Amino acid sequence: MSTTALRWGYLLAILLVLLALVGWHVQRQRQEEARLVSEKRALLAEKAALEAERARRTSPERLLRWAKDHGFVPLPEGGWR
Amino acid sequence: MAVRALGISKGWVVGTFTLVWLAIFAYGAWMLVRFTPRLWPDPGLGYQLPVPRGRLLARDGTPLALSPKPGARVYPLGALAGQLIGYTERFPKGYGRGLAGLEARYDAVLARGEDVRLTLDPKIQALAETALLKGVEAARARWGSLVVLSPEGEVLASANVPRLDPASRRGAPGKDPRLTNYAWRYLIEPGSTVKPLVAAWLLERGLVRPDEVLEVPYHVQVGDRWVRDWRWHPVERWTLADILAHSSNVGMALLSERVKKRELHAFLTRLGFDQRVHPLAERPLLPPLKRWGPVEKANATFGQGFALPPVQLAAAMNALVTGVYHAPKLVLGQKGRETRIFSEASVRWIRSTLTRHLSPRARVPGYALAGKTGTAQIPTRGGYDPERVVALFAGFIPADRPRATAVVVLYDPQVPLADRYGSKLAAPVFAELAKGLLSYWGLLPERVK
Repeated sequence: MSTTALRWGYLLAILLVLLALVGWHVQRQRQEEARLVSEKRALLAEKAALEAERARRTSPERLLRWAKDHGFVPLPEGGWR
Repeated sequence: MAVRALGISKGWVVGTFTLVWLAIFAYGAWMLVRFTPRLWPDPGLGYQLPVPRGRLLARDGTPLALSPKPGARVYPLGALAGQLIGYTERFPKGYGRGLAGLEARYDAVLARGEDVRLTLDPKIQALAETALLKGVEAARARWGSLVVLSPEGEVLASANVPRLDPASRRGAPGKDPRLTNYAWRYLIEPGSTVKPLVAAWLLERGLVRPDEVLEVPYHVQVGDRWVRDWRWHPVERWTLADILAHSSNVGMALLSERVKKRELHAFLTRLGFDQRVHPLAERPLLPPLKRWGPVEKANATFGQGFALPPVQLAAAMNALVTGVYHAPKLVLGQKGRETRIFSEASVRWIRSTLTRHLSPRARVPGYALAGKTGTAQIPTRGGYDPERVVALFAGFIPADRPRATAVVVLYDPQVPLADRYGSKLAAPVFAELAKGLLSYWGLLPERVK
C-alpha cells in the first residue's frame, strides 16, 4: 500500500468517524424530541383528563344538588318581607 | 514510516482499518434503514402526530366534549345538553367522526383540532333541565323540551327530556327516544302561544286599538267550520287584552277578518315560520299561501295549521323583547338574521298585558314575569286527536327588561284530561326556571329593591 493511499485512508476513516458522530448526535436529538413530544402528548392528555374531571366535579347539576342538600333555597323563595 | 517504527505489521493495520470501516459502514447502513433520509428538510415529529379532536366549550369555557388523546372522547357534564352536543361514531378502540348534533355539525372544524365555543350557559342549562325533569315527571309527558334564549337570540339553554348521555350505550335511531333533539327537530303546533305575536302585529298595523271593545261569542263560523273557545262563555265585550287574558280563539278569529290572508302569511314568514332558521333545526311546516282559505287564516291566529320546532317558537317569541327577530345562534360571536318586526311600544304593551294576566302557576311572588300559555291538540290524519295535547308556555324573565325568553313544551301528557293544559302543566316549569334564573342573576324582588 502506498503512503498516499494510507494517508487518504486515514482521512476517510476520520471523516467517517466524524460523520458517524454527527449522525449519532442527530439521532440522539431526534430521540429526545420524540421523547419530549410523547411527554407533551401525555401531559396534554393528563391536562384534558384533569379538565374533564374538574368539569365533572364542579358541574352545575352537582352544584345545584349540593345547594339543595345544604338547605339553600332559590332567592325568590327567600321569605322577603 | 511510523507504523514500521512502532513494530506493527502492515497486516494488522489493514485488518483493523477494514474492521473499523465495516463497523461504521454497518452503523451507517442500519441508520439509513431505520431513518430513511428525506429529500426535503424534516418538518419535525409533531407534524406527523394525529391531532386530538377539538373541544366543544360552553360560553364560560366549561368543556362539554373533549378528547384527551386522538380517538378518545369524553363528555364531562354527562347528559347535560346531550342531544344538542350529539355523538360520534364509536369503535371498540375509540371514537370517530360526528354523527349527530353539534358533533356532526362542526365535525370538520373539530377534526382539525379546533375548539368550538357555544353560547350555552351550563348553569342555565342545568336549571332548565332540573325544572323540565320535574315538569315532565309531574305531567307524565312523552317528552319535554325547554329552550332559553338571550334577547340577542343566543341559545342559553336547550333542554330535552328524556335526556341523553352521549357516552352512554345508544339504541337504534328511531327506536331510542333519547336520540331525538326535540327542541330543534320535532315539529309541534304552537297553539295559543302565538296569540301575543299576532296581537302585537295587529296593534302595530293599527288594525286594533288597545281600548277597542269587541263582542266575542263562545263560537263563530269561519268558512265551513266553527271556531270555539276553550270553555263556554256568554257573548262578552272584550278588549284585545281581555282576548289575550282569556286566550280566546274566537276573539282572534274575529280579528283575523281585518287582515288579508296574504298579509298574515307574510307576517308568519318574516318570523321564520316557513324556513329552516338554523342548520340543526328541522324545517317548519307552513302551508303555502295558495292552500290557505279563511279557515286556515283564522286558525293561524291561534297557532293551528302550521308546525315548527320549539326553538323556532322561542326565537319568534323573543322578538317581543326588543321588537327585533334574531335567528337562534349557537356559536359565540356568530352572526344571524336580524329583522325588525315590531316597534318597542307594541312589544312593551304586549308584555305588560301578559304580566297583568299571567297564568297563576307561572307567577313568582315579588317579581314581574310575562308569558302566555298554550294547549295545542296533536294533529292526526285528517284532524286532531281529541285527547292528546301539547302543553306549552312561552314567557319572559323578567317582564320589564327581559334577560331571557323561555319556551316550555310538554308533549302528550298522561294526566287526567281536565289537567292537560299549558296553564296547569307547562306554566309551573316556567316558574321553576324563573326562580332559578332570578337567583343566578341575583335579582331581588321588586319590593326589596
